[in-house]
Amino acid sequence: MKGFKGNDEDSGQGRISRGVEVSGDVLFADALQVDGKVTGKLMSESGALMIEQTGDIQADVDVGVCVIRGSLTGNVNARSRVEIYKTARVQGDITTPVLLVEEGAMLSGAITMGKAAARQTDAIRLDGNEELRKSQGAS
Amino acid sequence: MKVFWRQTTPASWLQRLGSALNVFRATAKRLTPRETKSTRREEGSASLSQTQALKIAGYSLVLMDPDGQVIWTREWDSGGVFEFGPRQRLWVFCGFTNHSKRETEISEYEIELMGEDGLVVERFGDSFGDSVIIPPGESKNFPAEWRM
Repeated sequence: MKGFKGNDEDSGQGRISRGVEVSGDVLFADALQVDGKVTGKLMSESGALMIEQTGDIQADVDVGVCVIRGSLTGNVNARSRVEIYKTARVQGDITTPVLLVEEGAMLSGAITMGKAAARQTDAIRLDGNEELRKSQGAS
Repeated sequence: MKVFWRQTTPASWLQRLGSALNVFRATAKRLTPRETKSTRREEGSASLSQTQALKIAGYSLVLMDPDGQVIWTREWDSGGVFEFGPRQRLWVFCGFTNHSKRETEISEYEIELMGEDGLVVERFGDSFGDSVIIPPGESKNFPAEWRM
């Protein structure tokens, strides 16, 4: 499914509902909420991708903002920020200038600074499956 | 004398001592401040004392030379307002590229989080033991981490 756009042209908001499976490249403008499954690639120049708890993405993501509450297998490049909440399961490398992670989230992959900076010299490496457990940090 | 002797039996003294210790423990417990999450601090990260979520709209990088003078600053949009709340960690990576024709010497930096009104709501600062020299055309990344 190439050239997929949001189903609400006025607001620029799109949604892939639960039970819907999309395979291929998905291009959207402002915002896309995923409750279903997507395999392939998700792209937006500056839009926000919201992967909800039932959402299952097996694709590379190249967007402005990426909010993850569901499952994501693939690399993420976000020009503005990435938010990973406690119900999220992420496998893949993340490139972003701003990263928010909630305790309990599962994250496996490397995190590097956004491409806006010329060189990715400083990186946080999360070895293996690092779970930010609830017992860590603020209790 | 008989009464006095009765009151000062070893068992009686132990009872009194036990009571006094209980009073002391109770007083000490009230006076000793509890460890809160705001007092915990991990190396390389800043703990916030707020328990309410912060609304973040942007962030900025401030670079300072060895004299503490601000030599460069820049603001970025966070791509819309987002909330940073309890049990969350936030990393912000800022980059600087020396576009001048001279070397830039940096000894410390600050990364500031800004709210919707543009005011600074949190600040992370770090300094280098020795100044960092950035040659013309070169770049350096500056990270910051908060946990709430």
